[in-house]
Amino acid sequence: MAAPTTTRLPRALAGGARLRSRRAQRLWEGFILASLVFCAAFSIFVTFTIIAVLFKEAWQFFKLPEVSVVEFFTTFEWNPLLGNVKHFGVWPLVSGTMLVTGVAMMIALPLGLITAVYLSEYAAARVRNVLKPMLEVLAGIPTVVYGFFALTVITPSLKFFHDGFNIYNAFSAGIAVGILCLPIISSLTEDALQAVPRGLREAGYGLGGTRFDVSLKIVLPAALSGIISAFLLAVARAVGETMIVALAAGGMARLTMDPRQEVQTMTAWMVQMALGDISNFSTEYLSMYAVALVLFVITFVLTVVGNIVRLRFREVYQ
Amino acid sequence: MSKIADPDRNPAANVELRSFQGRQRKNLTFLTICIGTATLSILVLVVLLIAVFVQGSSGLAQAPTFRWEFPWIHHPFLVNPPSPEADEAGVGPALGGTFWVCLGCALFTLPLGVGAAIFLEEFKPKWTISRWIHGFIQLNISNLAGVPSVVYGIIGLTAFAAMFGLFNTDTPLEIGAEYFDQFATEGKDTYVLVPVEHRNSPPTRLITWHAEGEMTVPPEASVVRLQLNSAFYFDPWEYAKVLIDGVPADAKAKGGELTVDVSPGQHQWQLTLPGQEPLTVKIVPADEQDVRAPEGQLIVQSAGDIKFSVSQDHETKITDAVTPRKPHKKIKLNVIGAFDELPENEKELKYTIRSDSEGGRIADEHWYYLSLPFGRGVLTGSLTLMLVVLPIVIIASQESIRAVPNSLREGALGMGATPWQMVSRVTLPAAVPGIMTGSILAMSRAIGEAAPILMISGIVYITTVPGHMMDEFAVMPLQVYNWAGKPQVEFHDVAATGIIVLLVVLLFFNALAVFIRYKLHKPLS
Repeated sequence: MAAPTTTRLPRALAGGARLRSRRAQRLWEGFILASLVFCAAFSIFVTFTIIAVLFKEAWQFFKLPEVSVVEFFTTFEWNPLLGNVKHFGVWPLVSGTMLVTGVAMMIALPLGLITAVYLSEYAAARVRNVLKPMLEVLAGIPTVVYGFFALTVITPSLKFFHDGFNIYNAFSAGIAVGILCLPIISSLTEDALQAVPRGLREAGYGLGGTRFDVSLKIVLPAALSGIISAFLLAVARAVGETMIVALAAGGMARLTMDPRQEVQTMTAWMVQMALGDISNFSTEYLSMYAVALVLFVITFVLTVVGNIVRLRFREVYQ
Repeated sequence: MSKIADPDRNPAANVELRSFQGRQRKNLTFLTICIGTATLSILVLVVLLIAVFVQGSSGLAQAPTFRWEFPWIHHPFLVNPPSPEADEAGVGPALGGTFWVCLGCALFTLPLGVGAAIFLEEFKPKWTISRWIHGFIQLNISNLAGVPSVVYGIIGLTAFAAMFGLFNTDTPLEIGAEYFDQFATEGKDTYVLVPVEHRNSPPTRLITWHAEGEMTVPPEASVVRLQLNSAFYFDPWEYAKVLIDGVPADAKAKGGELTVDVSPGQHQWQLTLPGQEPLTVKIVPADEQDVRAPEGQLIVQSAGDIKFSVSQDHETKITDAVTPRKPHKKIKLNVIGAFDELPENEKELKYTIRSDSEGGRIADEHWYYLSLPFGRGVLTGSLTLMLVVLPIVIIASQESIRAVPNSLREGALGMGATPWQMVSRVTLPAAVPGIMTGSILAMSRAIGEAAPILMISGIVYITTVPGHMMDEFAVMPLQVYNWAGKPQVEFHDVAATGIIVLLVVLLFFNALAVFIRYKLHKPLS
């Protein structure tokens, strides 16, 4: 008896599927897998590019004779655009960022937490169905709109109440950034609160606790890691905010704790350099990269720590 | 408050039991605070929208007109370009630019994002090292989502617009562009175009002037100076050619003076000067100082004996000139002297050009124009927005793939499907509504991003919708930023109107996402 030959595969199947031989199928799948790996590895390539470009250009900046690393990180004056005497201390820009972020967090953190507790523990389904989309809308509004709002509504209102506010001030920009970050804190905290198992709550209710008791003394501490990570991610977002501060906070870099004054944040400086008529290799233009590096390091550290806290320190129940 | 009296019998003796009413009161107070906070958030949103509408509605109050060209309903604000007059300003080019940039962004983001999500969710590896790499990629994507968009703008500027300096910006590699020198004729409002090879080739000249002669250079002086005072503003020696014994000479030009190095002895020499009228030549002894050439005269200064004769004027008649209206029909130009009389016939005048005319270099870029480096065009904007939006798309796609129940996957595997067949035929179709919703929401985020585009293109005054991939563009949020930053108060109203248009576009996208989520959502198990 002759050995049976390999079966020929039919050319076409119902439904338009293609039948390939096993080897062809494996080759095709290998190709697909390779392209998928490429897609995933692209993100690593992006991170690598960001780090490489920022470090290289910042190194070019620090190599210049008029700039020193020590001066950059320890002195407190930033005016690289003056003619003769240029100062390159980065702290005024960092303090401007921190001032705006501080005001923003003073608004976003308490309001966001309370809103999240309300949505998660108290609110009826009807209220949730109205409030959650509203918060999503708040998160989806472009930041130029917030900047415009800060410039045309918040600043005049502040000036109406107290004369000391400059037309460009850190406080109105901080309020706008806070409104921007409120939905972030609210939704991330609410996710963390929802992740706490019902058993804990029911134990609290069973012992006679009111909703306030259970929410604030049992659920909130149990979700603390999620809340911390939400806070860190919101701070990262606030630090990196550009358009609001470019429109409302101003362009004068100074080291101050007074939110009524005009300040310049790191991002506003980068925008100023990108818009200016400055040649590509001048000192001022390269300072943009150095400031971008500082900004990137700050937000990267915040985001990494926030993500690690979120993923690692989730309390595991049962 | 009651205290439990006996410490020996009750371990909670020193604990104060709080009354029920106190705790209820606290509960109610907190509930009031919560409702107040929630109302505050809604109030802020409402105040924001009302403020924007009140300020911006006057700009939209004009009535639209209907025309037979795209888009068929013409509203002044939506079609006009931005203008220095506040009541004529519009967002037309910004809308077009936003459309093209976001379309490009979607084209780049969706394959990369969905591919990465599929890899991260479906092809989880089993070995430890691969698992570590897998977790690293996942963490990396979460971190990329937190990078500020300005940093992406800087990366886009360096990596896409300038391409790390790998290509020369002055001589980019390009296809799809044709260059012409444009001359204005003596006719009424007529222009002719002369095709040139490359954007940096020498400008087209209508006349070239030749001269040749002989010279005897003594040993002690080997430098010949030529001086030309030109009526034109360009360097008269920029395209001149000096040939000594048929070989190009070593010549240095500075201003109106050309210095030629010659070896001693007897030489034949030729001089070619494009674009000059026939000149008079004057030979000046070498030791004369402060020689100044009057206009239209060439001065030759050298030691030794120079014989110089103008052999012939060569006129270069451009035979392949075309007109902008009919670019395929070649026309014959009538080149007359700089001081000649004009012909009287209108038809002749239409293609008459004086020999000292200057042409301007223009570029005609087709729709498929591509240049390396990418420059500040639509392609760069799309790629930069892709960087911003990619982590969001990956995370959203991952969640929707994760939501597909495992029973479907295991059913497919049990029927004999390979992993990729399972993904492409079972998992992906089930996850598509979620992926589409997530992508549309990510695109709506991209529409509102101004900071990366600001870093790439700066503040430019764009009045046209982009015509090809490398063309300049304007996006809506940046246009609003432009107007809001102006000192005049009328432009704040225009900015508010722009914000209304922007919010309407975003509303449309979000409604589309909700509609898709509603329509295509099928219960999966």
